[in-house]
Amino acid sequence: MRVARNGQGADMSGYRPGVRPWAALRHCVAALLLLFMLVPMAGAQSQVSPVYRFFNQATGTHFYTIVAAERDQVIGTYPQFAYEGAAFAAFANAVPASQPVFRFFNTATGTHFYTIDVAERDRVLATWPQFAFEGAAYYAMPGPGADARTGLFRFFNSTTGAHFYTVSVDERDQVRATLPQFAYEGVAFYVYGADGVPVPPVAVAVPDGFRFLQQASFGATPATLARIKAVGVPAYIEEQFGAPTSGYPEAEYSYLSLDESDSCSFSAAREGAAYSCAINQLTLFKLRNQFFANALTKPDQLRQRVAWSLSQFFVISAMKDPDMEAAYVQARYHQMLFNGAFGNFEDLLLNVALSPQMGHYLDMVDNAKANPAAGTEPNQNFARELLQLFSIGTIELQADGTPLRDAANQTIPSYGQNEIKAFARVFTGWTYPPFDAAQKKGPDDNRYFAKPMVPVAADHDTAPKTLLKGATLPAGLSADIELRLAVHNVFMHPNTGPFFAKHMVRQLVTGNPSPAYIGRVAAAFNDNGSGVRGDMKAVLRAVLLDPEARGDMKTDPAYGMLKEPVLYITSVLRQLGAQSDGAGLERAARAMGQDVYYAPTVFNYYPAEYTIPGTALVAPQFGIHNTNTVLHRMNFAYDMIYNDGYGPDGDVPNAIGTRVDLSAFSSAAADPAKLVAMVNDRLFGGGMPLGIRAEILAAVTALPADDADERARTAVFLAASSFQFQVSR
Amino acid sequence: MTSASGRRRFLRATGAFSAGALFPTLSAWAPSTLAQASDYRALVCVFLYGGNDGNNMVVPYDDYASYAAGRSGATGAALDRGELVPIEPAGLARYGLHPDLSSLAPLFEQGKLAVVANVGALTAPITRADYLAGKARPRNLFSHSDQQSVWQGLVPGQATPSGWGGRIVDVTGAGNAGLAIPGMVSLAGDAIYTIGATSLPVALAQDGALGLAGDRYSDSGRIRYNALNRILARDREHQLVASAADVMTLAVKSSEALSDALNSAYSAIDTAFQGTNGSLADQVYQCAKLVAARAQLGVSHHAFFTSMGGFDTHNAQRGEQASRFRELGPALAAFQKAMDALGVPDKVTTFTLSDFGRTFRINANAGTDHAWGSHHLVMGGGVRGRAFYGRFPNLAMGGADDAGDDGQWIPTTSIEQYGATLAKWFGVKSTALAHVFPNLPAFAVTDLGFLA
Repeated sequence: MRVARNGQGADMSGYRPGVRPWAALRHCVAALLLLFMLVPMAGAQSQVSPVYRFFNQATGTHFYTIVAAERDQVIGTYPQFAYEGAAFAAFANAVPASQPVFRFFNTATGTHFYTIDVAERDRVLATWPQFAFEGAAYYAMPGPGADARTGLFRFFNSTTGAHFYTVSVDERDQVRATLPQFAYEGVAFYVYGADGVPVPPVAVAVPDGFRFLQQASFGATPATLARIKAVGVPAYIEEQFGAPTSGYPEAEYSYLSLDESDSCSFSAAREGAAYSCAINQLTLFKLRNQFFANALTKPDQLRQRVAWSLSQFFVISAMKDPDMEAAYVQARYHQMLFNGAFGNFEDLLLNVALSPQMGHYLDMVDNAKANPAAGTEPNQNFARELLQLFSIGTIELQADGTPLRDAANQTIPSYGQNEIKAFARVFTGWTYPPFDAAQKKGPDDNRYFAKPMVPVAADHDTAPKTLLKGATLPAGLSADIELRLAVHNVFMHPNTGPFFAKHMVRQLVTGNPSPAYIGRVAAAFNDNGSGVRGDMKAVLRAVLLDPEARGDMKTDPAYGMLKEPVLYITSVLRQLGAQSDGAGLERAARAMGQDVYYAPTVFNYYPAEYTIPGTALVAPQFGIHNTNTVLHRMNFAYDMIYNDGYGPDGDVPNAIGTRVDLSAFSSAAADPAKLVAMVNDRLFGGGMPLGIRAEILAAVTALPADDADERARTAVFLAASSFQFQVSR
Repeated sequence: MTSASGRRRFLRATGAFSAGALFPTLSAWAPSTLAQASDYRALVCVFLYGGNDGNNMVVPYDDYASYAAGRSGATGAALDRGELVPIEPAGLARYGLHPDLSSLAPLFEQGKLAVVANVGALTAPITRADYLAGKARPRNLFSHSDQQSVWQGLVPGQATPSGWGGRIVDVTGAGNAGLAIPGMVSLAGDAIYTIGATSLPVALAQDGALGLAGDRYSDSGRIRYNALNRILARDREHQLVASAADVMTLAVKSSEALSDALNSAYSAIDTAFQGTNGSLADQVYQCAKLVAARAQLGVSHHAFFTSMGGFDTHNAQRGEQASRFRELGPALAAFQKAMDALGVPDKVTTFTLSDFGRTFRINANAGTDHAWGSHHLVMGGGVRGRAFYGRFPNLAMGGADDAGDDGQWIPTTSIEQYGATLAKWFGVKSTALAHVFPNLPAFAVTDLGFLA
């Protein structure tokens, strides 16, 4: 039986559970005996373990094992075995009144047989040499009893020559009613239900370099995988810190006016420069194309991921008004995040607070001190969101990000209306910088976004203020001094480290990190090892090098995250080696619920703590995953693979559209296993789960061998549209 | 870490279907063999995201002076008396609607629209003295995200969050045929309002249901489609994979069940919606189609969630709110006209919710900031309209109805009371109200009386 490296390669002849099953069981029995001695004897039922069931698609028969390691080995090695979970529960070793259930392997049919009847065992041993005896598989009860035991029903399938076992009355009745080849043989022996019996999680093996690239790039490519293999993850991170910045160069977004002009007009001839200026500079058309082009092609992948994550923390949105849809307005803001991605968090806070983009978005610009004559007070919008979203959050946190609680076990607000009003008064007396662009000043250009806001002393509230943690500002301070002190005040609050740590971990790695992981990242925020607080590089190293982020095997069934629409799109395209100029991809992302740079509100595209319905799992990306957006994900994959992607857009210079070339897959399509292995390699880094692997193999095999293109498209589509791919783990 | 067995029954049932059920029927939309449900009820929620300023939506008209005292012309955000559209609630002085809600004034006069005054988040009835002393003070009152959650029914501290719309469907959804038609339809995404403890919504695009691309009837198409659905059932040990796949399974099943209804033509509805535009009109238009198709769908109780954004008017409120109301008013009026035309005006009730109200005091940017209690609208043939419910606040800033000094009105009606009145009309039995509104016992009156 040949098994290729990484479990690729299919042996269709049926599973022989290891050459020496006794050896595997011996180890397990030894371990279990030790466990048994440590577990108090609370009654026979409390010692049951789940018995796992598989359906062998090659032979049409079932396989059962109580050994979790054997389960994992089958899952990891034999794609024809569909894992069906815990079927029932039994004893891993003898308990009073139990008897061993004997296991045989039928070498003729490649199937297993189980019996508790000693006489039957002996008869099989004496009569049928093709049945290899494998000893006691587990222990069960021979007859009915007063506890919660339940009968295990046994069938003989005359078509396959194999037996089938189930505890489910419904399943038994359905088989008896609909499958005449199954002869019902009654209750074989007594076991226990599997409900409530803890099931050790199945380990997911994904090569660590591939996992890292899901976290720190927009999709793994052969080149980036090879580089990580050559230098290792820590060195690769340092290389990424030094990679030249992509982003939105000022020279490309140099029309610094909000107004149309003769040289920049929607009414101009479509092929001319004036029209191009209008769509490229007065809308986000070019910017969003470049967002995707950068993500798909530029080498500063980590910086781009971090900038994209920062844009989901310090949110501004083009949804606000046409000002925010001018290209240079957004370009300058996001370039500020690009430039600051590996700097210091306090500098980011300052730059955000002083940016006219944020001033415009959250109404800090032209905010003025109270006017008793008119009966007005300072606007609270920016003050509130600065605290709620950009630094400390609404409740006091412990160092590991979990809420602090008072004596009554209630969470403790981190600020109240008094603090909001104080900060609102701090953020008074700022306005747009003076217009100093090369373009002629248009009527809307009293709002200028190319430089930081400038203070207006007359509008600034100079009364004393009390900020967070009792910090006071005396009377008479200027707008600029007070802004910097207020930013420092929130930066220094103990919440900021864990609050920001949670955001970055949830953006890059997993939605449900352990508190200890958050604590480690927050500690790096608090002090980078050289006494500096807010060092982004230290934070990112802590996020990406933590054991919870690294390692080939992950056993938490909730590890990882659903790829947000942008990441899904770029992963499909990068991993398949697509050629793209980035144009039009924002439409696909919008249909999937993520309109790039057009977040519906300052609360981002999805809630930071969104929980999967019916669970307690935090998964922000599920906040836009519904029956409408999910179909758009599917249809995007279909468009790329079956509909030739996107054609060149006439408004994009040197347009190439978006195209995926599947010819390499077509060349392998004559050999279904080879094709599936290639898809596994490109889309899963070798970690394609067994279930989907078996289904894709079956689908490809069912398609005519002479239609290599259809086989290739089908295999790639089924993989790229699957949730096994859409979830990064 | 939750086990797979903790998942909803509903999802498990729709997840396990045979290959035969995957192919949609090609037959024409057949007349239903089900009797017209005589107890049909539809509830349409319109969530105004951002916190609508109710102070400029419903304004004292006869007692305009009480408004002008706090909102002077100098602020740039006040409404002149002459702009208001007067309405005459039974037994009260006249009030005025915002000029851009003029299309709703006739509905008010016909008795199909009511105002529920000063509704807001409360843990129990509370006075200004209580609030200032910190007693029974609801948490995070002025935070958008927290208050959206509270208004949509999130019970604080729930490990698995749900909303009151979803919880209503939990206890009334059994009226719907099979599990292919979820009782909750969202035209506005994954809001917590739509999530029940045991039921999930189907979300539609604003232009109606979407199909899965790709031909399914050729040999290769069938193989692909079959495999796609089989893959949805594999590798479910991983929780996120399973949860994400479940949404797809629901989408496939629901889009097949609903697509005929949504793709059919309803001239009565088209007529009613002539001249409207904007996102809310699109959303309630889809609701209208599903109301029209209720018999074919076999639905007896249907809840809908729609929304509008842009109500967070911190800046230049006059223009911002006006543009919102120019979309809200005509959309609501058209929807009611459609319900009249379909012959079910009293079986469909539409109501507004919002994060909170806004400060009566105007800020430096001619806008308003976050506040608390606000006024809401209820519309439908079953509404006892041409009336105000609850108690309109005294508009004195710093007065007995203010939580502070800027006119943040302490609510005199709770969200639970508002919602329970709607839920009872919809068909939730009094014994089941506790499931929908766990905190309802804190309030003496559980039926505000605005629905017959």
